[in-house]
Amino acid sequence: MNSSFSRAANVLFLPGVIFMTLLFLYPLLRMAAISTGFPDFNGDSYARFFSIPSYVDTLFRTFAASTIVTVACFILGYPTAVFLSQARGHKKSILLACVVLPYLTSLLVRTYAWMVILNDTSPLNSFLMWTGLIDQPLGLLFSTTGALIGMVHIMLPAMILPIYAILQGMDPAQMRAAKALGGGPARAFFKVYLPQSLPGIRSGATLVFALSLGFYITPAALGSPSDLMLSNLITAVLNSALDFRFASAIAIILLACTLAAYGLVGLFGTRSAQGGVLISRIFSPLVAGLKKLLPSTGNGRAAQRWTSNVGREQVWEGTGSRILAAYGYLVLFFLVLPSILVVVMSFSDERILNFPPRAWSLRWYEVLFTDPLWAEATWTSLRVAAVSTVLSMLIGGTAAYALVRGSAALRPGIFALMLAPMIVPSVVNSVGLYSVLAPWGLVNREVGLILALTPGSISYVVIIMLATLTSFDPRLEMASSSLGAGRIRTALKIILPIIAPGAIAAALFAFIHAFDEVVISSFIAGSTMQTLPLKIWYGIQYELEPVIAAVSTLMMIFPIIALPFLGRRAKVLRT
Amino acid sequence: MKSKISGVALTPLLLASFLTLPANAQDLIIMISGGTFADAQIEAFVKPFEEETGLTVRAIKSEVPANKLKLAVESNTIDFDLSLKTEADGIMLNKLGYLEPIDYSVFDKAELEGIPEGLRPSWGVGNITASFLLSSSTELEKRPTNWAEFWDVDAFPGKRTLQAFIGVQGPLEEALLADGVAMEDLYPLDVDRAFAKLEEMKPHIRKWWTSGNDALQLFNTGVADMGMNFDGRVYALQAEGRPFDLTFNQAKYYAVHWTVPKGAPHKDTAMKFIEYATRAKQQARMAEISGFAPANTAAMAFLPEEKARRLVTYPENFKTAYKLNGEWYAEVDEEGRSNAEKLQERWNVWLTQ
Repeated sequence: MNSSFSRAANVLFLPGVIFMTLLFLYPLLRMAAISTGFPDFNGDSYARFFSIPSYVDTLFRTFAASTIVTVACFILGYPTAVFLSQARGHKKSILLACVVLPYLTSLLVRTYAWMVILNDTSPLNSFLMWTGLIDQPLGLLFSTTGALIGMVHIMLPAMILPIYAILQGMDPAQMRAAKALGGGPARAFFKVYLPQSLPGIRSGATLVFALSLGFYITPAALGSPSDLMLSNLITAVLNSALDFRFASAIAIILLACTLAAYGLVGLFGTRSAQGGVLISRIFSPLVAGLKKLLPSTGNGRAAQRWTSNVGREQVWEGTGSRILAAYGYLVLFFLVLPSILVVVMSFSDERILNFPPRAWSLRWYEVLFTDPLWAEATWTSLRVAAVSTVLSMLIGGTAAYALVRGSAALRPGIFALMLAPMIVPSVVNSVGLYSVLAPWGLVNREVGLILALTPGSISYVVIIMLATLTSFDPRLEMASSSLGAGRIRTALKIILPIIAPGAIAAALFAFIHAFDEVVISSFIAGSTMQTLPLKIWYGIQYELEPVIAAVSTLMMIFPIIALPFLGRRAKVLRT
Repeated sequence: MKSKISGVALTPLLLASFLTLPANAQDLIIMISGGTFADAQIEAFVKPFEEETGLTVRAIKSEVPANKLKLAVESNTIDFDLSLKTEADGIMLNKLGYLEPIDYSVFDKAELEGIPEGLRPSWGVGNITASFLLSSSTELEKRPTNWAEFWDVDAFPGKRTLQAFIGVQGPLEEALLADGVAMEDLYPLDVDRAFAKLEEMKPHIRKWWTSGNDALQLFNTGVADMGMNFDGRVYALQAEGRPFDLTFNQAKYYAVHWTVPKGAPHKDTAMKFIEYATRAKQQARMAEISGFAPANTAAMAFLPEEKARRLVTYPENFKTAYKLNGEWYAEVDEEGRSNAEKLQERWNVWLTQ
């Protein structure tokens, strides 16, 4: 690559850097400043946090919950990932869909589903009482157990997908060799299989642990009042006492814990703890796992990989494989069950949740389509997500291109900056964003919400576009210009068609992120502007009505429709 | 198996709802809280007001907490015209200068006389009088009739719920009543004593509810058999055929006021709406649907006897009820912190202990 090319590409770093600095770094810095009582500097608010035992307990509880969630996800997820990597053909794509669709389904929808299931009058309780196993409903909703069940369910795909991605890349011949050499299945597993899957486990565990630290919606909706997590405490302090300084201090403490969790893995895993490298190590297996489901993205190679798997050898045989399969099916059932129940509930004719509903109707869909507030919320969400997607594709796309073609020296720092919003708990981002956007008069405004949601979308775009662009041969670009095509012509005729499948995937993820985000939105969108997830969130808090089941059902259909469309569209573009 | 509308009918409905959406064509934007209470207000106030005036009202089923309202006024991003506030919140916001004064000149003299003076301060006009009271399932073998009995978990078995402390409301009075304090001696609240009594109840509360709908759902879904509830929400439960009833014994009542935030985009229309919504006839309609007592006493004349009997302001009920002292909650110490703020902080810490 000649240097004028690289210098020109360096300019393309600018939009991304400016945007992220203004809407990600600056809010965090401002929040840090507020927490110390800027323009004075003192640690009063930190001292206050650590002087109140119940707040320190909350910190420990947050760590404990994240640990439990991580361990449970590993126990459920690892065998499932192994089972998935053994499956073949169409069965495999269906099983994978059971993992990916919940991942793409709105967090709120999944949380709502658990509220339905764990209820005292829920199907689960009615079933158990019917069997005579219990004579009193299990008090699962609004209990610690309930919150943990919901959190594990929500985090499970983030554990399974990275492990699956690594297992998928392993050569089964090694296991065969280990066994042929007399290692025995157990020894072969612990000496050969498990060590090779470690990168996937590390990636999954870090993701789950760090994301759990920032858990907000699910524990608030499912948990007992006394098991607040740090992020719930931040909101409680802000909403009730309007103590911005104290809330900022707790947010900084949460941020520090999260970074420490990532740092720990960096220390164990590599010699260099460069931020960008670390993030990519954690997130790329996840993206790789996701891309397995999108056979037509990634330049069509994945599709070939799928067919090559047909003749793949089973690592486990006999009873072991049957137990593994049974376990895998159970876990996948656990993953999809909530969605199924929500769909069924949405056709209920009752205001009160009963399962199975005693009467059926489309009344909740009727409410949904005739109530102007739902339509308005839907429109707001679609508008916000669409604009945010366009913005993040422009900014993130250029940044990804610059990361591939631009100066290597700038790369790690900028990469880290572009991906950082992904690893910071959204409640932390929200507090910072609020402190910046409110004085600018952008709170309660659609523009403000779009600006607030775009950094997160950019991260998705950068990580997916980067994966796409690195598999793209730069010589094609050079060939085009040497044959006399200008920059624009080259971009349109050569670059765009090749990267189109990846770009569509990136846009889809950016859109889903902006459409589904609820924590940042609840801070920035204000009172009268309601996005669809916000309206659902208030609805979940105030009315457990089946109308939310109906809107949830429709929101689940979105990723189901989007995925095949993505595949077909990509094929059309390729030919 | 019955189906109200067919799937075929849904498609045009969907299209229609998306195509006919008027973008920001509202003449008035109001926050009306949530759930059945909000539904009742749409029926009693919003729809007839739109019909009479030809104006479009955007009624949002949500609430704006006092703190969010403060921030919105400070950052000059107020985007609604009316919201409902309790007396204590109203006093506090008014002290800060965050509320528009009510334009009483647009009110009809006779109508205004029906609203007790205490319900028409400079900063807001009463909408309804709600009460927190003891509600319990009629299916229980033994139902508590006062807060002391409610606290007696052995003699009165059942699943319990109380309100969480939210800004200016919480279960402190109930705890003190359970501890033997008389209704007339409640204020100023003995906060330490209240928390000590709440400590006894804490292990028996699975969920402290935070909104009227929250409470309704807890009873609705069987999480609670007895506890604090709003009168209107109990009637909403009854309307759904749920086996719950209430007692006005030791009921705590307070008024909800219409308030106009500083910088409201349609201030004048907001005044007109308040005037309309507090007319005796509209108030009677509201009381009939919601079960909450009207702020306009003249509304009682438009109510059938059996409906009036259900209201906290009905003489017989009123005798055993007491008024929530909003002024005490809004009282500010020398550091500028109100009792409500201090209580909220103490509650947050207590809850996570």
